[in-house]
Amino acid sequence: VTGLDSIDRADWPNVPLVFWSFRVMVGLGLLMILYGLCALVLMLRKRLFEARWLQLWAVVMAPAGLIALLAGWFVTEVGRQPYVVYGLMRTEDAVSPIGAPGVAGSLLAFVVVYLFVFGAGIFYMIRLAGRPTAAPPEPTLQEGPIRTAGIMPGPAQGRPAQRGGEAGR
Amino acid sequence: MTFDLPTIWAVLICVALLAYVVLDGFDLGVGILFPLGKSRKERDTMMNTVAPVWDGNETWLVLGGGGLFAAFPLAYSVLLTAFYAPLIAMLLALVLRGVAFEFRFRTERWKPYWTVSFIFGSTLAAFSQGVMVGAFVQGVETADRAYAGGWFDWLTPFTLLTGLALTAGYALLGACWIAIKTTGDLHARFLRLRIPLGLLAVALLFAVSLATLFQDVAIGSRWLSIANLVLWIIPALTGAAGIGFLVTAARRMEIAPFLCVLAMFALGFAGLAASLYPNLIPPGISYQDAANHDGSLMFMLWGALVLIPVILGYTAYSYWVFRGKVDPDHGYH
Repeated sequence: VTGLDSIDRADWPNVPLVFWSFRVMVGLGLLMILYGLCALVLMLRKRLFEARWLQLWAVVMAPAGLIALLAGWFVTEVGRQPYVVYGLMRTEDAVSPIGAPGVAGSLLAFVVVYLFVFGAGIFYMIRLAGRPTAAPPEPTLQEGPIRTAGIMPGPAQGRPAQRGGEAGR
Repeated sequence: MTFDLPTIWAVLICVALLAYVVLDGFDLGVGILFPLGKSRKERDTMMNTVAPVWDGNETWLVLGGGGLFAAFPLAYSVLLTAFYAPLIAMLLALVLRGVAFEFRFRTERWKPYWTVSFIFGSTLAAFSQGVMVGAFVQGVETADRAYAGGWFDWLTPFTLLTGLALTAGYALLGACWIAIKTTGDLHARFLRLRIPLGLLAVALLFAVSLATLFQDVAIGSRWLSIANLVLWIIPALTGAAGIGFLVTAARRMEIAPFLCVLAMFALGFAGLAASLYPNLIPPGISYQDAANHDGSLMFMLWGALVLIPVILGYTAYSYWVFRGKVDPDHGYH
């Protein structure tokens, strides 16, 4: 393995940023695996839906995927510096002849539009998450089989399972 | 013209851009005409005529842009730098109208804002595309294989005219589309609207064509040379398509006028190609000069040979699934 000390300092990326973002990515990944294992153990012990701490942990973990993804992106993009094509072309040689004010203007426009659009999107998502799930529509015999396939628990599957659970206690 | 790899890729990118104009033009047009919806229900119906297909249509823009990047990197770097401001405006406009499709149906309080976002985004995207076509025709300044022009080289009376013309053309396509897909009062109004909009679009197309002839000596002399008389088949067919549009629209037919307008767009595209061939960065840099190495072009061609039939397949399938009139009471959402 070639150590960092054998590479010219002028060719170093921002080392602390790469170092920590890589660890954030891997750490979050391990946390996700740990979460999955805990959920598996609880499911096998049939206590998955009662474990309040697991649900709270899930809420805390909600942005973990996004953060891990961004951290991974930092690792590849910052870690590649000062090259834009590794070993072949330096970033400073790839800059297009668009002046800094032009790039700043477009960046500002992107920030404004994205804040507006993503702000609204996150608001709608949180509102959607805060609403109780709507009751499934009453199935009618004329429209076909009561329960065929799907990912949402429907009446035909849900009711006997619930009754069975109560009988077992 | 020999059929080497750069030529195949130049044709493929032209086809992708034409497919984009043919497919996305009418759904941008629906957005441009959105203020003409009289009630919330009418606007919902208008939006639902394009809601299932609009994002698939924009695939072709990605194919055209991505293909340009990989096949003609010089053209990609020069043209996208030259058109930086209208390009960024188009992308942000497409963002604003794209999310409007999703968010308009999710909220009551904010519905008017997303309606405005849809109108503004569609109109600005159409106008920016027209400006870029005009800026492309008038040519860009290069030095040492890089853009050497100024900030606002893309902004001239000619590019404003092409921007207006493309916006009017898309609006006409949108009106024809709404007339095909709807029923009742909305249907009747857009059937009638097609003729004045068509006259406006044809007048603007004519103005752009004339301005193009006088815009550039090389283009003018190419069209006015006796040796190139065969090129005049393009404007002749465009005129025939225009007359076909007026006749069929006056007879209140639904599909034929739409097809005539699409033919006019394709012929306008052909006229543009005939004016500028073989230049990819007008004036002076041909697509052969701007092409990538044959190895890269061959590698990409294999990908294109697999992907383009897949895209054509799912596009055709989605139009088939959502064929026929839109029921105002049953949205796609």
